Amino acid sequence: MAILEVDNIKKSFGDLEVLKGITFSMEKGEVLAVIGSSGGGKTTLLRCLTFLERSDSGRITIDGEEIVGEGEFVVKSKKKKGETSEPDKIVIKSVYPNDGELRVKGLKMGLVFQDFNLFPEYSVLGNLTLAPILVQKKSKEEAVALAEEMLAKVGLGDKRDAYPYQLSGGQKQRVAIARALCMNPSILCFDEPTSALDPELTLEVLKVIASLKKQGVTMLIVTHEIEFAREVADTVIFLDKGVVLEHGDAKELIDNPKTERAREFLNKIVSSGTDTDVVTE
Amino acid sequence: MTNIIAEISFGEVTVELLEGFLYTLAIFGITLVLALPLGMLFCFASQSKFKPLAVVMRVFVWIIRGTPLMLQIVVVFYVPGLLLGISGFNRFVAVCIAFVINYAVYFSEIYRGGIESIPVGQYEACRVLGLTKAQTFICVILPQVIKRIMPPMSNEVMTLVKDTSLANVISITELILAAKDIVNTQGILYPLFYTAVFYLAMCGVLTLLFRFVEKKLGYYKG
Repeated sequence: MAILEVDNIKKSFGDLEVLKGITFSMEKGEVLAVIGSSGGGKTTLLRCLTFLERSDSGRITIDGEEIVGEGEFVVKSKKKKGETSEPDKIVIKSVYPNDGELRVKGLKMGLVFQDFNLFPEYSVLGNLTLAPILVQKKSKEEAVALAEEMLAKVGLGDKRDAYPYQLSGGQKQRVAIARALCMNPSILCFDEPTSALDPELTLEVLKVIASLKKQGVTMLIVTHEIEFAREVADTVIFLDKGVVLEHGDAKELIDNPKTERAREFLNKIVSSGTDTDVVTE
Repeated sequence: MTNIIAEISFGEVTVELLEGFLYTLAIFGITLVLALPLGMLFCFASQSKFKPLAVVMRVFVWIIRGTPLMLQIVVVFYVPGLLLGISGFNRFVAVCIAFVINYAVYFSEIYRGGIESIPVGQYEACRVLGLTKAQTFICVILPQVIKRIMPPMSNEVMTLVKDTSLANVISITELILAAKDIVNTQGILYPLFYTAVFYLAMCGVLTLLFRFVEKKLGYYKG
């Protein structure tokens, strides 16, 4: 059974339709990379999947539980005197649970941000234990033990007492990954996790993501690192102008794109892209 | 005519000024204790999603910031009597009400600036970690706001020390009025200058206090 099912997600900002009906699913343990040019809707899709944004219509099912459903709503047409009014329209909209319920159910999705968003006033350990203690009501000892385990996973066991300003960008992003892992999400999402980093620091973050894959973590990664996507991801979605233009095996899609648009995009990226071959060695 | 100069000794002047200084301290302390939390309420009100409340609050902020505190003290003291016929309104209470409202408004604007300076990513990080709005504000946002607003707050608190002298407009015998009384009855001028020592001492202590707090909060950057 699919761990994530996304069914016909649509999202507009004002008159601008950013997502025009996105449908795909992911299996447990799968690593899915979402690629595509800027403005194609990658980040909006990720924000809808992590409930930072609400889709206009469409369903989202995680672990077999439908979190965002759909319902029919009647839109009354404006009636003007002396005119034959149009019949009331029925529109289909996404239906979200109430805020409290969504907050808890949303924990199935973890998110690592492009610019880390660590809490500056908390130490690394504080960043990692805050939500487990406040939200999951873990004891302090339990939360600290978990945090140390996750820090070891991202190779920062010695930084538990450091503050975010004392860390490099790559270390900050690894802490952010550990913080998300502490909440034990079903799917860990990444929003261009290396875009704010220079190439050297990019590598250390990509290595961590590659090692998480080996441990069976289900991940959905929005990225510009095409070579990395090719090496680490199982499947790739090419998103363009709010639609899934291609969806398939990572190597197959990147090496032999079927659409002209994807070919054009990949040629541009690969000729100017950074070299991340080392990651999987 | 007897020589009235130096009929009052330096020690006696000091004691009288100290009595005035107690009023100064009382106005200062009460204003701070009440205006700090009230300012937070004003801040929430001015940012409320319930538009009428936000509009009323903004007009209120405009009125308080747009008129002299001295006038506000007079209004609080006299207007209830003129409008409702309530007489014998306590002078000290009136002064405190005017100060608390005035300073709460200024504090609310400082809080607002501090809260708006926190990047939206901090809220989003809390959101995806499942924190409630209250947890987000109290545990993550507020500590950062407090650090950021320390410099403007120390400015405002220093100003409050000196603004307390405005209470003399409705005859509260705070430091300045206490000195004026001596000047007028004894024909000596130095008690008025002497008051500066008290203000400077108080601001000196506050400066050290703020430096200490800022140092405490300096354990992190950002």
